Amino acid sequence: MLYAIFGVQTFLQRDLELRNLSLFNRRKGFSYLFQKSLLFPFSISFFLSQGFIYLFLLSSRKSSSPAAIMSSSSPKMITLQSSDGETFEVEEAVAMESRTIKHMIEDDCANSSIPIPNVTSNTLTKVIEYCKKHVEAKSDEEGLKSFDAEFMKIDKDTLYDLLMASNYLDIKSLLDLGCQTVADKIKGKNPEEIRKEFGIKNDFTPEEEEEIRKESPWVFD
Amino acid sequence: MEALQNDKVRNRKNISRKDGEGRGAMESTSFKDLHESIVFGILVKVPPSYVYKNGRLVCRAWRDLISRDDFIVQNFMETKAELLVGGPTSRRNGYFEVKLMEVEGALQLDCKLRDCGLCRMGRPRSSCNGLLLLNHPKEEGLLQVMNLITTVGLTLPKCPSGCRHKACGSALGFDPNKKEYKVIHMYADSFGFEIFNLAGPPDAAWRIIPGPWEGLQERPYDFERFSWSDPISVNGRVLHWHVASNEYIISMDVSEEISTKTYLPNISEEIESYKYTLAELGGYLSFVYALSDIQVDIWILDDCFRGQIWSKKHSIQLDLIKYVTPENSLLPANHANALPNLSKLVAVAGRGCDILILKHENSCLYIYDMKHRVMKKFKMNMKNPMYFIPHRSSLLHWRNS
Repeated sequence: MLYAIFGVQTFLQRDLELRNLSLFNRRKGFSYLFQKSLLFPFSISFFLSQGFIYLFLLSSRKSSSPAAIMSSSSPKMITLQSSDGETFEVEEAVAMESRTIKHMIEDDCANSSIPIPNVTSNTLTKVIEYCKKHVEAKSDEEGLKSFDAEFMKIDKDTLYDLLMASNYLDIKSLLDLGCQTVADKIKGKNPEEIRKEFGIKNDFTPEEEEEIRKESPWVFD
Repeated sequence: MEALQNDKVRNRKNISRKDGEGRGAMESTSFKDLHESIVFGILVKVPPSYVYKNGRLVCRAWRDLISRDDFIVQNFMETKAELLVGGPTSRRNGYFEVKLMEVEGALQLDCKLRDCGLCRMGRPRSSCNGLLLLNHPKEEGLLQVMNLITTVGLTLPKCPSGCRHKACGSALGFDPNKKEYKVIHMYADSFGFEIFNLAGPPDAAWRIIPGPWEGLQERPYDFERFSWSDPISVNGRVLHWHVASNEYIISMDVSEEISTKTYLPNISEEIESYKYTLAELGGYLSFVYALSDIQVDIWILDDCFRGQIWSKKHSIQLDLIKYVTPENSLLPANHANALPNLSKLVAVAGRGCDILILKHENSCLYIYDMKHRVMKKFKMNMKNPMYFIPHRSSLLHWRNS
């Protein structure tokens, strides 16, 4: 529609210019000046009205966007911004996997991009990958299970980053999956191995340790 | 520890070298940076036995976290259901050995039997929320309640009926209204039920409430041959006793402490009391009836106290079973490994909603999956498994809920 308006405008302007030229060619004089002086404000007002019409259409389009979404086939996209400035565009359904983002959208504070201050772009990429898969393949239990197993084959640091991110973004399934992965690592290790694996310092005194180790021999009241 | 720390330092150097200035400050998180709520979420998913034996010795913060009440409760919610298998020890010295059996996987039905790490136990009777009711190993006539992992326990006083606990029906139950554990014991129904509250004062006594029948002639069983057996406990809230009747079983709600008759379902033929067994399946009572050599029916009781509606859940039919031969069997399809005669199988326990564990007379177990109609034999390395009690590990003490 804008093009149509533009086209009409250029046509009219060209017409005016031609008229101008013809006027100029024909005769100089008062009538020429009169016509020219008329033409100039006319074109300006025409141009201004164009602008107003354009702005009006833009605002009406913006306010009727939900209606437009209903009728259009492309889903609404949400922009997320990681702590190091990278932006990610995701479908609304995928972003809503995070309850934190879901509340933001529902409270209507998510018109432009949503900043996610404590999550780096690497971690956010992985989180989005997880949410995407879980939205797409929602009913395929077997497929999701194997995806989850593959997804968790990552190094420790990435895993801890993922845990922090899913805790902040409140994505329960990812948090549970991450916690279960770490829990499986703890299971079956003795205390020294656990300390080594997680870099924990042993802050017990020998007496405290002995007290815990003493098997309560069938304490019966 | 040194090598690990050197690795971490090297990694950090690599990152700053790769990205130049801006990224130097952005180091990846280590375990120490995780919030306490995340560490809590990780530790609750570790099975209670590992958390108790190893987790408490890692550092002070972990020890304090594991002793918290809310941690213990949450940890219990995450544990998987297992089956406690008890039998007399091979040395026949009056002690029992107890092993825990896990059933994994829907189609593979893998079973693992592991030791619970305790010896010299008495006969196991019943389990509720990780607490086990057992006979005293040495003294006759005494019962004990113990947490299997922490081994913190309590010996109950002698029963007023003078029962020696060799042929009686006792169970440990939990009253969710008053949040307390009770032991319910039945030896002679003319004497009545004997109930002991674990949360009571140390010198508390057993309470006696009337038995299920008013007159001696109402008893359905043969007085000479019958003895009470341990009831089936459904979630620790309702207990059901098999009383050798063709018409009903006796049920009791642990919080109400009133015994009622639960009438058996209407199956196609006359019920014979020796042909059925009771088991807990997915939080409900199930009635397993051996109709013939080739068919066993399984019924579920939907609600015991508000209508007594039974629904037929499944019918095991011999010709429809997909029999999975055990992997390390040398003789594939011979007599010992062939499909068993269904009437010789006795249902001992359920696992989840779809798995039933049946015992054959020659002490083998058969695991049956109702969803996929798969049956698998499981030979246990236990001398004489006699008692099968559904169990869920926990670190709970009977004084906290």
